[in-house]
Amino acid sequence: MEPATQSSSRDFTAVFREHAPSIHRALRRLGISEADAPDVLQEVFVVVHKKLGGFEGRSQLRTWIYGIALRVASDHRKRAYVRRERTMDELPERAGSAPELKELERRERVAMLDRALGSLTPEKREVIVLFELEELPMKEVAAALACPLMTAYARLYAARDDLKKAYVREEGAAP
Amino acid sequence: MSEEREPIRLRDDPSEAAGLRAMLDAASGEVVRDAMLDRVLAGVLAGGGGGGASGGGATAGKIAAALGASVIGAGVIALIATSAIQPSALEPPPRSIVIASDAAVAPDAFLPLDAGPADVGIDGFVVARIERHGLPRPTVTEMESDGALLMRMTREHDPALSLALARDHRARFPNSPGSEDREARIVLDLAALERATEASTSADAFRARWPHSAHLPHIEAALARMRAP
Repeated sequence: MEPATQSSSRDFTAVFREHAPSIHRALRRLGISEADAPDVLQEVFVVVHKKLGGFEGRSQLRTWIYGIALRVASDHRKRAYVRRERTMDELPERAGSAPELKELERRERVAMLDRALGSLTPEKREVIVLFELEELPMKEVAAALACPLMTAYARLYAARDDLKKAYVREEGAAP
Repeated sequence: MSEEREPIRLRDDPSEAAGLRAMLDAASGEVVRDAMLDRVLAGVLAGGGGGGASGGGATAGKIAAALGASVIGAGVIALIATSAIQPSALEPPPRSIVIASDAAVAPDAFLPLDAGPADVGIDGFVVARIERHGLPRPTVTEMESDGALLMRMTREHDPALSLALARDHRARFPNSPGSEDREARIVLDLAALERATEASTSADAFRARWPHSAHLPHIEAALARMRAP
């Protein structure tokens, strides 16, 4: 692969600025810990940086980047090295104000979502993340997953069933 | 083959449970910090592939260096906690516990919580003796944060926050030896928040599981107060 030129670096920077926040969010929901997410995000964009010049535009750019993110996240999960982080410590020591409590509630819901997503198979988790959370159209979901559209639909419906069951379990477990 | 119509997303579908939709919605509220993105971008442009020029490991290292983290034994457990550290005037350090291990960690594989007084450090920060139990000991850090989290929950006076901490503890340490205290606290917090149905349900479950608990009189009193006009 050719080294990036200054011009392509500027292009790349724009691509990064536009897509990195959503890719970071997707990585978190794909099971990458908050501690690992920056490094995994960097891995994703190292690939993007290297291959951006050769991007042929057969799919949308974001679809292509999501596809890279799925593969990098999958590789990351397979590694023996595991770092686990407890984000609950970011909670305010004394949350009394309405915004703080609202944020606390939001974090609880995200934690519940992560537990529910964690109960899905990686394939189902990916389709939920891309369609339900990142709101990609199903055509793009299929492209990012590198599978036929109908397979993506079937996976989505099966994933939804599992997610709903997981949600019911979470609700049942909640005090 | 005819193309299937784009389905309605669950969070946009009013026929789905409100809680499910709220759960899915919550993730969209996450804020990605610009400073972190800047570090990642700098790392990529610097050609950083393997070094982790950004957050993650690098951040852990910085926090460890800045805050005096303990790196314990051959288990490669880096434990970083800032709860005992004065925050910087410019940028409060992230208050997080990062647990690093060179082996996959079974989330709920806990050792007996037999940490004695000697294991308890300042400010409720528990530092267990890894060598006491031998390797592999990644669960030791689970034990540490088990105790630390219970202490924090106990100190918390705000019932909403205490409840959140207790739920977090339940998710992380379902079989903790502190389960009885935690579950009692959950009932008391729910009662304090006047979430009557949940408090009663939780109290029933508590009674069934720990019928002779010393917490029961407090629970009954809290429920009675909650029900009082």
